[in-house]
Amino acid sequence: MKALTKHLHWILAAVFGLWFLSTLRPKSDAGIKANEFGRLPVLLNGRIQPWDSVARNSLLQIREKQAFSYELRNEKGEVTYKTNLTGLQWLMEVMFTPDAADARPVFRIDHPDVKGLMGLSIEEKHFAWKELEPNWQKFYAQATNSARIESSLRTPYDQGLLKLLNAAKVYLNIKASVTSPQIREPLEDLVSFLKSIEPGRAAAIAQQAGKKDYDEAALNTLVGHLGTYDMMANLSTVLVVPPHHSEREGDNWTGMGATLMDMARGEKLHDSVKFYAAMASNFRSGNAEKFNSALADYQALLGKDFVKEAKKGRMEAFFNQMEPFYKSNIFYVTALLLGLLFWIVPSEWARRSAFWLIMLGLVIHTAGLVFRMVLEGRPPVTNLYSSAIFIGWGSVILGLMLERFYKDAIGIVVASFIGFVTLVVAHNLSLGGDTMEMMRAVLDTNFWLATHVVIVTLGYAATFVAGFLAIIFVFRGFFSRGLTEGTRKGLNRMTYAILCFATLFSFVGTVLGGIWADQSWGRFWGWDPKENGALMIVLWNALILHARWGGLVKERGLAVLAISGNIVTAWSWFGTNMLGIGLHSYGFTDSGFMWLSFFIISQALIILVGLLPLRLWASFQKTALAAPKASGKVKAGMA
Amino acid sequence: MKHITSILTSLRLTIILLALSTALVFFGTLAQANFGLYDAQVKFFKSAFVSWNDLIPMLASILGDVLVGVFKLEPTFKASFSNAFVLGINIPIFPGGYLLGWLLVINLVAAQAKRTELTKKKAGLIMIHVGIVLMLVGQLATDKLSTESQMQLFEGDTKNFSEDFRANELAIIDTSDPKEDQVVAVPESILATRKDISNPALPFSIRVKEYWANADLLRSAFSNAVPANATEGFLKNAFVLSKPTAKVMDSRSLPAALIELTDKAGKSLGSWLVAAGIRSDDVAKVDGKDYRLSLRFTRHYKDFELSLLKATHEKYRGTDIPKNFASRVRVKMNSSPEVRETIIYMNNPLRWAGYTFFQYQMAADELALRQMNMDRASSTFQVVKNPSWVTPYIACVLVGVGLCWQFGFHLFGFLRRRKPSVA
Repeated sequence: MKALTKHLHWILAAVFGLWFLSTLRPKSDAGIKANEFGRLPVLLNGRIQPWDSVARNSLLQIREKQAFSYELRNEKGEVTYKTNLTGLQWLMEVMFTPDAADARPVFRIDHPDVKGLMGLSIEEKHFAWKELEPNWQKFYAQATNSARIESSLRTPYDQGLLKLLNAAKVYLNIKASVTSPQIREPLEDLVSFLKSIEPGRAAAIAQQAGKKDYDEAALNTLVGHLGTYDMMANLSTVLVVPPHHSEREGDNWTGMGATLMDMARGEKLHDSVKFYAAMASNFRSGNAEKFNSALADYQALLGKDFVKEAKKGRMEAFFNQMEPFYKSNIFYVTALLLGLLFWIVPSEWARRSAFWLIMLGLVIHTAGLVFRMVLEGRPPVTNLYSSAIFIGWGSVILGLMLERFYKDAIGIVVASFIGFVTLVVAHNLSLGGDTMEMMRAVLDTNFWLATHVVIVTLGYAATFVAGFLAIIFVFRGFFSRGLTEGTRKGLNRMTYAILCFATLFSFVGTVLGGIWADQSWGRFWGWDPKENGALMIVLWNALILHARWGGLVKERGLAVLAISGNIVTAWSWFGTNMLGIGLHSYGFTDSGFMWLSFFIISQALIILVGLLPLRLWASFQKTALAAPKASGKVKAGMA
Repeated sequence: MKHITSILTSLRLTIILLALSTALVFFGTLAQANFGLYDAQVKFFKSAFVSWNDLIPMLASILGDVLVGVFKLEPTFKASFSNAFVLGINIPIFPGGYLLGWLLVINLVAAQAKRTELTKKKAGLIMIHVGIVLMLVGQLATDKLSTESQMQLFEGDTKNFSEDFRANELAIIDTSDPKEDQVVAVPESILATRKDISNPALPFSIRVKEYWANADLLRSAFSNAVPANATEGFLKNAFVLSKPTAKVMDSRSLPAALIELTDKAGKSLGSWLVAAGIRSDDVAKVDGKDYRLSLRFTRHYKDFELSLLKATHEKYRGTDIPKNFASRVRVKMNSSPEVRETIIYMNNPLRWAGYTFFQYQMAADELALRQMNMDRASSTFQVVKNPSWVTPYIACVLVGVGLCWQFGFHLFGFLRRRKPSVA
């Protein structure tokens, strides 16, 4: 038994590590090679990405999930029907067999009035396109009205309408990206179109010249085709067709609808159009062999002329499958539980296992971070989503460093808890769609992104770590007897050291931001909300440090001030982004604003607890009863 | 005296000032939603005191917002709740940026002067605090000395003036001299008072019949738009939709005014609607002379000229996200025949003749506005003159080095102490 507990942390780490590695094996395709298809590159949102990413990001916006699972139950609650689709399988269904896809309840609708407007059941949460179509006109009129309202004045109902409108746009976008529901047999349609071009154009020219005897049937066939393609071009922004020459034309990819229309104007047929049509037709008829062979043909074409794009597609698809941030979070949660267990029953194996699990989690977290940087060709923080991931990463490292010195599971709890929360925040931020969107022109500078943004974000992370150390101080002191003198001093020293880090990083980061602004706009300081937020962190951290140096606060005072630092940081991180929404009416029903308020209120409550007289603290009770004199000393030292 | 010195040098004062500064920055940020970026700065950061009416009703309005949400009250409650806190007189209630800034400087200098011993251990602290004083003073100098304005050009244009970000002026231009125009410029602030305006250079006086601080001009009566009722000019039949003044960064209010010209005898010569952001060539004929009327962005004339040769605006493929703005320009001093050609693009400004020219990234609404003149590409530059631009650079080097020095001492001391237990 002893030997077991001695080595348990290795066993646990090995089990978790092996599990992670096992998830990395590329999924094999039986029949239609969906996973292979998912790696094909397309251009969307200004960047090359695989179909797999298109699938996941679309489904996130429509259903808030990356995959589609669904079950039907009868009155007795027994499952009568069950289906599980990966994002990719769902995407291919939407593109190639839209009738089947239209019957899948993928649209998540939460607002009851939106359901009411569409005549949908209030109890259900997910609905199929088929159910939405009958009342679409009515919905569309209302939704476009909401779109005209300034975003800060929109009601939750408006937001619900717009969310569904966006979901529908995403859905129609992929539906029209390769072929159209109006085309019964894509390959035949392509052949017929190619045949109709010459006679159709001749007829059109003749008609324009005023001749009476032009071939009306040929003209109508061509116009019929073009009508469908025009609709595809209007609905879809996915650019699926690569340029004829990768070298000369760079990112000049085109949408399928536009490509086909260009062919009527004399543009030559791109082989990829043929291959996609073949894949669409054979997916519909269920001919796996022919589908796979068309897919292989297209891959061969890409392998010849579009090596870079094809590689990017494969890499990003692998990254999606790796799900590093989701998986590292599993490590963190497990470690958090073990760390808490150590506090209740101090058993070294739990602490050690937690430490190594966080270490492994950090390795995966780091791998994900680096992978993202390679895919984007950018420093780690480019938007709010990646800032959450990076704050988590920085906090985990700081926590592990503390644990290395103090070995009392405090570092473990801090690392795993902040890691866990920030990754959950990141997940919720990812629901907005593509998290690797392109940078606006003014932000398009890797130098400043790498210095200012990274350092300021590390400052956020350090301030949070200090704040959570302080929370542990208050919680353990007030609710348990675990705040012994040693723990107290240790926590105090940790908080102080991390606050020094936080001050350094936030100050340097903020000033670098000023220099960036001076270089790009000609003003060092513009009192912009985000700048002000960073400044507040600097001021607050400076205040805490001075208060401690001046002896105005001792251990408890430092803890309370550090917890307030959490509020200041959360405000800078999110509050300033919500300034437009949050401060106008209705804004605070917005879910982000609600969570921020919730966080701030929770911190305020902890501060209140921290301010309660020490005689109410569990950790000081025993001493207070047994030796009143000693308690007086403690009080003096703690004030 | 001793008492005052001990207060001025005390750490307690530092902490109070830091706390007040944090709160001020917070309030000033909130205020931007109410007053707009510029006004909020003036009221909170570029002033000695914040007045009650600028702060308390705003906080009340936020509280009102919460109450409306929690108790499901009528949305109008918020406004009436916040209005209940508006006072008839203006009393200072909170220290403003200038007061706090100066107090911080005094406190810092005094404390350092009193306590400093020049030791290796304290060198970091001194550097940090000298840097911060420099930063504060530098920011004040920037506030007082720097000028910022914009140059907006279409391809092929040459200009010898830049335009103000916020201020507008009513220009009355006598074009009778073919060589040089005679310009009488009336600042918007005077228009806003709606007083009669006369000038010896003008054979008429101007009566401001209507003034809108920010307005949209429409062809027909939409929403709450009212007819301007001008009797003359390009905008004779336009409708005016009054709007709240612009609050978002990089957006500006476009005022409009209905002006009536009267001759010396007080007889009306007609009324014109003038509006900023709309180029009209309205001309009033008085005593046989042509006077062009235009409400335009206030101009700052320069002793050089700048021509826009080519403007490029790239977007990411398949999106509306701007990828790059770049402009090929030619500059020339009036005093010298020498010309210089260069490219200005994002994060790559031109520093020339004491000014810095930054490529400006247009916001969506500006681009839309520009599309009214779609035939030619255009570009905008931020033109900045800031004699104290270098202070923050020196300051931040000082503070950065000082911080590293100081925390380095702490960190190594800490690591030395911990060593035995790690090993």
